[in-house]
Amino acid sequence: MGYVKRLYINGLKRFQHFEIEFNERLSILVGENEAGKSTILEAIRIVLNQQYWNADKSVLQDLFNLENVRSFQDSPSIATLPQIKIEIDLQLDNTPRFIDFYGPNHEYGNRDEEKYGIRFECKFDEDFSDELADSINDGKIPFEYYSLTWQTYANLPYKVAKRPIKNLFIDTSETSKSSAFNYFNRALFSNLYSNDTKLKAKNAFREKLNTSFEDVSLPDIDDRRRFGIDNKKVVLESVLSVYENSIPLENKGSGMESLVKTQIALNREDNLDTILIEEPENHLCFTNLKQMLQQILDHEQDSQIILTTHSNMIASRLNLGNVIWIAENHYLSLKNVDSQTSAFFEKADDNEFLQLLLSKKVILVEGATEYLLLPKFYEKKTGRTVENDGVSIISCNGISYRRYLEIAEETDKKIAVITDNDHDQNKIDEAGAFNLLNEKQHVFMGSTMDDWTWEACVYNCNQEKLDEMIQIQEGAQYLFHGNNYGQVLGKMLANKVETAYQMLISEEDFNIPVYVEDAIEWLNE
Amino acid sequence: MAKRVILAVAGAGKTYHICHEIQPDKRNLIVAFTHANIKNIQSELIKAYGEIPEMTRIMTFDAFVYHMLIRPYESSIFDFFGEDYKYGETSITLKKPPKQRIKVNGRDVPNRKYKKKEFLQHYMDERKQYYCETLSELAMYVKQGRKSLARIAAEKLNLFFDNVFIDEFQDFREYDYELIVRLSKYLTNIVLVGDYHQHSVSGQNNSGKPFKKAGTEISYEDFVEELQGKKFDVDETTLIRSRRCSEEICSFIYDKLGIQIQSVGINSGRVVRPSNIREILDDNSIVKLVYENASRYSFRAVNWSYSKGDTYESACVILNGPTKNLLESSFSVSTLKPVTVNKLYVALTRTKGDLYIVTPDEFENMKDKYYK
Repeated sequence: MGYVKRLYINGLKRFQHFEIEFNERLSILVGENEAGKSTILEAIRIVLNQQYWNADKSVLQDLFNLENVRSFQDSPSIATLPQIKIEIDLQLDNTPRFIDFYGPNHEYGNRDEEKYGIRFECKFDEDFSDELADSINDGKIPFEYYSLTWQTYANLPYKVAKRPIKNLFIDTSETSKSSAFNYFNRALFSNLYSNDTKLKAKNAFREKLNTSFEDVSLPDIDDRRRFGIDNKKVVLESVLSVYENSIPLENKGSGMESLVKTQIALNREDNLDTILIEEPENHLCFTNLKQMLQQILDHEQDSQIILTTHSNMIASRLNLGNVIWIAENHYLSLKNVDSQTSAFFEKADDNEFLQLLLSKKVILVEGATEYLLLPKFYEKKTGRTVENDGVSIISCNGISYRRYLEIAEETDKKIAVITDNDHDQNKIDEAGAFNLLNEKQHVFMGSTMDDWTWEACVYNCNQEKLDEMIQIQEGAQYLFHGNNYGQVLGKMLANKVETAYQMLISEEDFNIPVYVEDAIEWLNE
Repeated sequence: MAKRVILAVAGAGKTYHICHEIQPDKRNLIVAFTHANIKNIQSELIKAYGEIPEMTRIMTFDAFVYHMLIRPYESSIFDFFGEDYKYGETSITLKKPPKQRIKVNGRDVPNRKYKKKEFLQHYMDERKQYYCETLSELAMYVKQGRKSLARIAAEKLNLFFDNVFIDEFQDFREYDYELIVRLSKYLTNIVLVGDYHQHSVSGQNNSGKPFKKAGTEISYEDFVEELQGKKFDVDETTLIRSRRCSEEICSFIYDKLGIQIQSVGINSGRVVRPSNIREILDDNSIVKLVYENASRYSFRAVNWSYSKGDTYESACVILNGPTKNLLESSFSVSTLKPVTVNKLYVALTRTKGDLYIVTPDEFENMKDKYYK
């Protein structure tokens, strides 16, 4: 079965140069807003489905990369005119009809290597160079004189009718709702039935239209004129809707819509090769989303699915190994994430692993108390807020921080881990060794047995203030796990979150434990 | 690995044989000389399998060379000749490339428009159209690294096709013929089907290899030997019996022209010397086969060479000057030019039914009455 293997984009929307490799089955594209996730899906459709083939050329204004447009305007000439090139490498089997897609005519990858694919090019038609040179040199982009060409890697013209990858796009974003739905209905109709069946349906529709006034005795306008129906004004595809229990899908609410669309796309017997889904979490309630994810998992082996998402849950449910992270003109595939780690995140519904991918700098902490207090310490130390600096504080909530580090291993983000030594000299030694080996990831913890956990460290450097602030009962022992750490610290350990909250709302100026200071400093180096 | 040539006789059902020899679930490529051949192959396949099998592709030779051997490697071709390549449209043209020498005022002089084979313009006109005539030459001449395009393409064809069939093999000449032989060297499985005795009958490109070498005609035996030398298995038996022509007609042809042709014996046509010639000429169910100028006659007439590939219910062959003695016992085929023998052979083998033969002397008397 065929699938979309690689995509190369040159000059489309936010991408000046971009390439990405997709997984054979499931690819989950995550990235910040505006990272270009939808542009990736659009690029696939431009090439495979010849989107814009017939469109008014003014649409090109929205497609060109703005930096390319700017550099044209800085030095206008025919040579600097913006253009778009998109190539997709396909995986197909060696059947005779696919020889037309196989060849060395691609710009990316090894020269002369023969592979399957399609090349799209949108550029100024140089036959008009002489006529338009003046206006181009004045900085005008002659959109109308651009030509759009689709060629296979065998250098043969590509027509959507010959498309080697049957695909369907499921889009749930609010803005494109009405047009998207029509696209879906049309695409489904044309993919589902043979030409013969489609033709029959169209003819039947036409004939009924023509005769629809026959049974009502509609009075004539005058003795020479009457109303009739011009069947050319109605196209079957524009009035098609999918009905479920006699309710058109459009009326079911956006959430259900995408659920049902996904269902239809996945349940087809002659499997689609590729299904593109844009942000399935839009308008879906938790239960329905879970249901959709289950559908996707059930059909994982039948089609290639490429979806974009912002949702942690989607990413971890559908296996982190399938996540492809899009940032600043490059991509990173989590394919190599250890399957144990992946399973770990899958179980924890409320994990923040996407936040990990989406921030530039990260501080990983053990639990809620650190999470509450750290922003205050950060501000005291740097004079700036964590938000200002784009630092995310993520609470591991019982998942070992090593799992997080593993996921982020291949990224170039800086991650500081703030953790406890738990009275264990080995941990201190290991952290030291780890920091020597890792440039982007460092682990920080108290350096003595007295500074064995967060509360102990905080207490040790703020003893006076905390003795005053924390109310203790005379004679109470405040044992923690059967050990006596003194009354105040004992109470702090037994009521961690409460204490942290109390510290947070007090106007006191607390000292920062040294290892926490070290972590903040290192992060800002 | 199999390389096979099947030599067939007229009416043996070459197309039928190819269409039934392919395995419909295998990946097959069938290459034929003309669009008419392709139509025949398509309808034969539909007859045999209800549809054209999904894994089978059929192409004319020119489309095959352009789409599979030239177009994918255009940038290498331009590189090879040191020309700039920009992606864009090229096409093919039936226009002849400029000749090496031309006549000016009756004198034979070199043609300034002619470009040697070392230049891209030898193969392509100024409008970026490849000359069909030099397509095969181009595929063999250009190299990518150490391999010729022909070889690279053949290796690619092996990835996509289990079997390659080439129909009407005798119609390929010079570079086209050489290209087929070259491709065969690298193709895993290839079957060529053709009728030696029908070569040089079609209108165009009738000279040269493989049927003429250094000006002398290559005999049937030499031809078989040459193919065996190219490591082909030559099959002279499978298609030696004509499904179309009757036993009487086949043995008549064998007697007169010395061509090995036998009959399956389905049809029972006779060789007839008509007593009432006008009756035959007036009967429109009998196709008249004339050496040339068929369009000048009011009766249903076809030129000998144009009738190639056709089957008629019954036919009347009107002999020409050189062949007028065909019916005499003194007739010797060695007095005829090989091309004439082949054309006559084609004309004599068109009928399922009776074969009427009229001599030029007999026809001469009434010719005028049948001019349009």
